[in-house]
This record gives sequence, C-alpha cells and structure tokens, in this order.
Amino acid sequence: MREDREEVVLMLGNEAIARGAIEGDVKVATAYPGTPSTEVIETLVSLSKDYDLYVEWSVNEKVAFEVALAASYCNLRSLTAMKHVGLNVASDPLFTSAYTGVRGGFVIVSADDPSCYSSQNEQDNRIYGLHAYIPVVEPSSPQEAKDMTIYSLEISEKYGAPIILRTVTRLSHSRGPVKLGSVRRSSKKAVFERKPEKYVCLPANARRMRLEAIERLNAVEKEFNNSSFNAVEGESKVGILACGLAYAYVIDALDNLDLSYKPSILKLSTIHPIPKEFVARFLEDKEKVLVVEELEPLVELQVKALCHDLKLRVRVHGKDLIPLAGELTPLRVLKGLASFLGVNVELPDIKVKLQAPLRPPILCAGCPHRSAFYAIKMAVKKVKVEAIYPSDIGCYTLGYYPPLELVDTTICMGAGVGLACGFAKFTDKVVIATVGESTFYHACIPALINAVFNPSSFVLVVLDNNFTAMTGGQPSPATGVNAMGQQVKRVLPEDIAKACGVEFCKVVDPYDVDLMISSIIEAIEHVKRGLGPAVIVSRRACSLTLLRESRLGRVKLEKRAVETDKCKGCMTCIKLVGCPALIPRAGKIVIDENTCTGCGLCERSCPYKAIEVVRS
Amino acid sequence: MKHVDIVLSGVGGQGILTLASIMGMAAIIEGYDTKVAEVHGMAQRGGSVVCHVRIGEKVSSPLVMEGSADMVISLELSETLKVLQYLKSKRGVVVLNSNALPPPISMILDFQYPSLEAILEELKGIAGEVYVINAHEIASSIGSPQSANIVMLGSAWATGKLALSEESIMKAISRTFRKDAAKINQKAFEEGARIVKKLL
Ligand SMILES: Cc1ncc(C[n+]2csc(CCOP(=O)(O)OP(=O)(O)O)c2C)c(N)n1
Repeated sequence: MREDREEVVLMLGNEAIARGAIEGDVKVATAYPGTPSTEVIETLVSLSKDYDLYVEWSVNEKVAFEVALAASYCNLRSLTAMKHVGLNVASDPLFTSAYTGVRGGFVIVSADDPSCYSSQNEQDNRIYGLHAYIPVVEPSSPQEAKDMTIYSLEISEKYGAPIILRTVTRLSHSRGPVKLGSVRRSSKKAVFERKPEKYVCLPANARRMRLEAIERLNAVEKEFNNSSFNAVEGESKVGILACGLAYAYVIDALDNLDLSYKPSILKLSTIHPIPKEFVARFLEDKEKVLVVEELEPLVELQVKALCHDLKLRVRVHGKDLIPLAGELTPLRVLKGLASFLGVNVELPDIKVKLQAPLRPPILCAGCPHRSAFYAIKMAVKKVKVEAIYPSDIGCYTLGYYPPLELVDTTICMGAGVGLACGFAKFTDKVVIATVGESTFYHACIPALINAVFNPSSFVLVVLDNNFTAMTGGQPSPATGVNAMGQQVKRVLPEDIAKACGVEFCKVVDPYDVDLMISSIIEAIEHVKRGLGPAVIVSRRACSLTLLRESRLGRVKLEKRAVETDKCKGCMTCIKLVGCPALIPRAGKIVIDENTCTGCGLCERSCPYKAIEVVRS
Repeated sequence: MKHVDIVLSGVGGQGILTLASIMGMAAIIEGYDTKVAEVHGMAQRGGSVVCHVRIGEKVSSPLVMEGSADMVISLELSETLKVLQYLKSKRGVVVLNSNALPPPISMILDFQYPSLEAILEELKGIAGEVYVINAHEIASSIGSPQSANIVMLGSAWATGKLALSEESIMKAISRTFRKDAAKINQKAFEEGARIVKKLL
C-alpha cells in the first residue's frame, strides 16, 4: 500500500478506495466502523503518518460525517465511510449538506450489504442520492473503486456537491489487481471563510439553497453524460444495462450462454443523476433492454420514465427477471439473462444429501460477554422473575444463540435502551437490556437520559470490553487511545450514567461471576421497586486482547484443563456454557489451551469437578 | 486456459483468507488476472467461511458460478459439504482436510457430526478426484499447527490443477509472512505437496 510507483497490487475493494483517497489528496478521513466499510479507514489509519492525513474513528456516523464535512467546508478534500445503516444515522446532515454544498471534494462511501452478511437489513443506499439530491457513483471492480474515488473527489470539488460512492460487500471484500497511480499530495491547510448565508440553513436561505442543489445536480448530470466510467460495448437491438458490480456478473453470465449474436451492453457507473442523453442514445435503437442492478430497481424506474418521456418503444425489463432481495450472483444473473434472451441454459444440478452441522458465528473462548450473560441467567433463575431482554448490536448479539438465549430484540444501534424504556413502562416484566460500550456512546445515551426524564425502571448492563470488537477491535472512547495513536482521556460509561442522573450504578468484572450474579440481583430489586434505571458496567477487556497480552507476558491467565479420569463425558459444560475452547474428543472434553482465557465458567458448570486451573 | 475457479471453505480462524489472498497474489505474479472474494465480520467469529478464488486471462465476477469450480479446498471436514454445489459435476477436484471441528451448537442440539466415510461416500457421485489430507497432523509435525492452511495449498497445487507455478506461490508466501514464518510456511507448502505427489 505504501508504494508510490506505478505497479499492479492485489487489493481489497476497500483498500483500493483508501488508495484512491491517498492519490486523490484526501486530508481528512472519518468513520464509525461497520462491516463491510471498516477497512477503508483501517487502511488509512495505517497510512496516516506517511501522508499527512488526519484519520479518526468517530463516536458515531453522524459525528464522522460532520467532522469530514467541516474539513470540506475548509477547502480540504475529505472522505467519510460507513456501512449502509450508518448513513441512516448520518442522514440528517446528509440531506442538508446537499443544500449548503461543499468546497473541498467530499466523498461519502456507503458500503451496502446485500444478503445481510453482517447487518440487520439490506437497504439500498443509492436511493439516498435521489432523496437527498446527491450524486451517486458505483464502481464494478477494485480498480474502479480506486479510480472512481479520485473521480468522485474531482466531481465533488468541481460542482460543490457532496457525492456518494456506493460499494457492496462483494466489492469491498473482494481482492483484485489494482494498477497504482501517482500520489500527489498538496500542502493545503484548512481555511474556513465565514459566509453565514452559505452555511446557515435558516428557512430564507434554505429555500434558495434547494434551488442551488437542484442546479448542481443538473450540472453533474451533464458531466456524467461524458464520464469515461460509463461505456457501451457492441451493437444489437437487444441491450443489457448493468450497474456497478452487476456488470461483472453479466459478463460472466454471457460467457456461459451459447448465443448466435452479442447483445449490446451499457455499463453504467454514474447512477444518479442518470446521464439521460447518454442512456437515451443507447435506448434509441433497442427492441428490449434488461436492467441488471443489485437490490432496488432504482435505475430501472428511471430508464422506464425516460422511455416514456422520449416515447421510445423499447421494452424495459429489470426486477421481473432479476431478484429484488438478496445479493446477485453469477447464477442468478445467468437465469435472468437466459429468460430475457429466450434461451435455454443447463443449470447446475449438484444435490448434496448429507447435512453439515450448522455453524453460526459464536462468542470467542473466554469472551467476557458470555460470563455476563451466564450471570444474568443465573441471577434471574435465583430470584425467579420473568424478564424481557432487549439487546443491541455488537458481539454480544451472539447471546441470541443457545445456550445463552438472552437476546430478545436487536433493531439498530441504541435501540436496546430505547426499547427498554418502552418495555419497562408498558409491561410488568423485569427488563434487562444489554449493550456494548461502543454502542452505548454511539446511540444509547439519549435513551438513558430519557429513562430518567420519563421515569422508566430497567436494568442496563453495559458490556464494556474496551474495544469496538465486532468490527475488528477499533478503539472506542473507553480505550484511552484513538485512531491517530494519541493517548487520550478515557470516557467511562459509569461516569456518563451518573451524569445522566442514574442512581444505581456498579462496575463489576464479569469473570467474578458470583459478584456479577449478586449485583444483577440487587439491580433487579432496584428496578422492581420502580427506582429508575439501574446500570451495571461489566468491565473486562475483549478476550482476543487478553490472549495477545498473555502471549506478550503482560497478564497471567488462569487457564483451565480437564482431568480426563474425572470427566464423564456428560457434555454439561458445552450445553451450559457453549465455549468454543471446549472440544469433544473421544467421548470426553479437552480444553484448547491456545484459546482458553481462564474465565472459569466451565469449571463452575462441571458436575464432576473435573475442570481445574492449570498449575505451571 | 480460460479460468481456474476455486472455492475454499472452512471455519473462522483457520487462515482461509490468508490462503485465498496468497493464491490471488501468486496469480498476479504469474501475470494473470484474478479476483478473490472473502467474507469478513460476523462470519469470522468461529462461523463458516467461504472464499472464492478465480484466476484467468480476464476475470470479471469475484464469485464462482455454481457448477463451475475446478476445485474445492476445504480446511474443515464437514464444511466441504457446504460448497459442493460449486463443483463441476463429476470433474471437479476436492482437496479436504480430514481435521474435524464439530461446532458446540451441534452438540447442544444433538446433531450427528458426519463421518469421513459418509462424506467420501457422498463425494463419489459428485467429485472427479478427491484428496484427503491430514493437514493438522502434517502442520503439527513440522512444529507449526497454524500452517495447516498452507499445507492444504501445497496439496492443492500438487494436483496440477491450479495453473500456478511453485515459484510464484513461494514468492507470494514470502510476501505474506515475516521471515521466519515465511520459511516454516514454505516448508508446510512442500509437505502438503509431497503427500499428494506420493498419491499420484
Ligand atoms: C449504525 C451502525 N453503525 C455500525 C454498525 C456496525 N457495528 C455492528 S456491531 C458494532 C460494534 C459494537 O461495539 P460494542 O457495542 O462495543 O460491542 P462489542 O462488539 O465490542 O461487543 C458495530 C460498529 C451497525 N450495525 N450500525
């Protein structure tokens, strides 16, 4: 990544975007982590020192957006990256940034997740462009991901419009050869010119700005008519219009069809505004056209409208033949193309009868979340209450699976506490919510204040593992360092809870299971008496960190081992704890010494006392 | 050669992404076009992981089409079953690691983990050639159990179906790991290859 020479390197789509940011003179890059966008900023973090680049992991996407927007207002090029649902959080400034316009090129990387590989939904963020009057481009390969990042920066700066670069999981997380370009870094410094009439969206200004936003979009459309990232291949009365990565699948599918002619293909990379003149020229002589795009029929609808306006007789197909839900694949596109072209294909027919075991993702060995969930389970059992368990988004969402099964709701970041406010008010059950510390800072604090303001009594367990773990262990405000490697003041959830007016607040190490159980029981008593929210901060670093620290000799772990003679092979430990370090072998259990962190849950659960601390 | 399409399967933590990216890197060294599709995030927490590697003069889609993989490489025994639909029927090669990692949840739900024999029986009507490699044992025998992924790469390469030279793979390995680790992984590659050459 550090090379400045022209050469071909195997790069992840997200690394290519980061490289584009470097080649394109981005000075400020911000994000809140989220799969599949995380590697964009992670790559830039590793390059920040070499290229005089400011990078931050912001507290949430709205803040990330605003920090990068400020840089653009100061005439620096900037980029913010987020997963699709992150843009919901940042949508408020998104809409109005189109009104103010920008100065330095400002690129919003939206990484969508068709098929929900790591997400709660599969929304298509290209639609934000339409809704918010923001141009949208969509690359089809890692090479284009890099090149179009630079292109987007230039377009944004030239027309003063923020721009969305839409990628999808399959592009962000695919590697391909990328020819590096030259790196030309300017020595620009931030300069903000005070122009309230440009940046203050009072109604009188906003009405004018809306007209300006429309004008900007029209100007960008003219530019897109000549974009070198759009191209037409071949001549035929039968056309295929493919957007972004769908283009790659179309090429493959055509390879698999035995056709006597070659349909004409329009590869469209500028999705919004669609370049009407350019697309109309393609449509003019066509009898029929298939629009292939991932998720929503965004381009399809615009093409249909265009045909209607221009009175073209071309038949336009799209989501009638290409699936609406789920990621596109070469086979799904092949099927759609075959029926569009009226040809038969032999579809693969391998049937596998033997079933492989399900293998959902699970909490790591020694995960402190498992200990906290285990304690919650034991506490609730002890006091014999019925409880509702709103939870949130993070590694701890995996508490959904057996044997824990303590996750009743997962909606969006922050909803764990918002829903808890409601459940506690409207039901007579005890409500025990779980959220990670990164999620707590991101979107839970207003809901916690709400629980004091509009009194609501529930237990909130903040699972503080010191990192944003699910997305790969980025620093959170609890960590004490930031993306730039600066030592910073730690912001602690218990301080925030107290400042919000929460009266019951305890910090407990979840490896101390007995203390955890008794604390949760106390918290349950507190909320049963209607005394307001009770917060328990469950503090223990992510077990992956623990393992790393112990390998470096910085901490000593009380790893466990099974005494084979005593183990009866009853599997109770697996059934109650479900830790992946517990491995069944020859009818008994062994503990994987490489991953055990000594949480001790298995020892507690063993009815035969066959598990002990390893003495070295 | 138009394409060589390979699908890799295994479990998060087995080094499947490293394996896939070494293959992609070697393809570039060899002057080919390539695409490598990975899975990050949720799926890495001990869940199933599938990667696609495509090598050829010109490669567009990062995904292999069902029914068109020249090879399936599985780093975990039962995970083999989850990607067989990608295999070229009765012509594709399967290289599988006989190491079994039954997931805890299958014990909790009382699911019977399939035996090697049952899996080989299933493969009979589906695969062209099958190679069973005890990669865990081989890697452990050279003192590097975490190199089982590279042992599998050696075995896959030795079948002669990868279109990559040993030299470019070795180069890609040495670019991927630090010095000592590169050496032990090159050794793992050789050991993996030796086992298959013996069988051929
Ligand atoms: C709006 C939004 N942004 C980002 C994400 C991606 N995301 C999912 S889990 C997670 C990490 C949460 O960290 P934390 O709450 O500390 O829990 P941990 O994973 O550390 O247990 C993130 C960033 C998301 N789902 N939604």
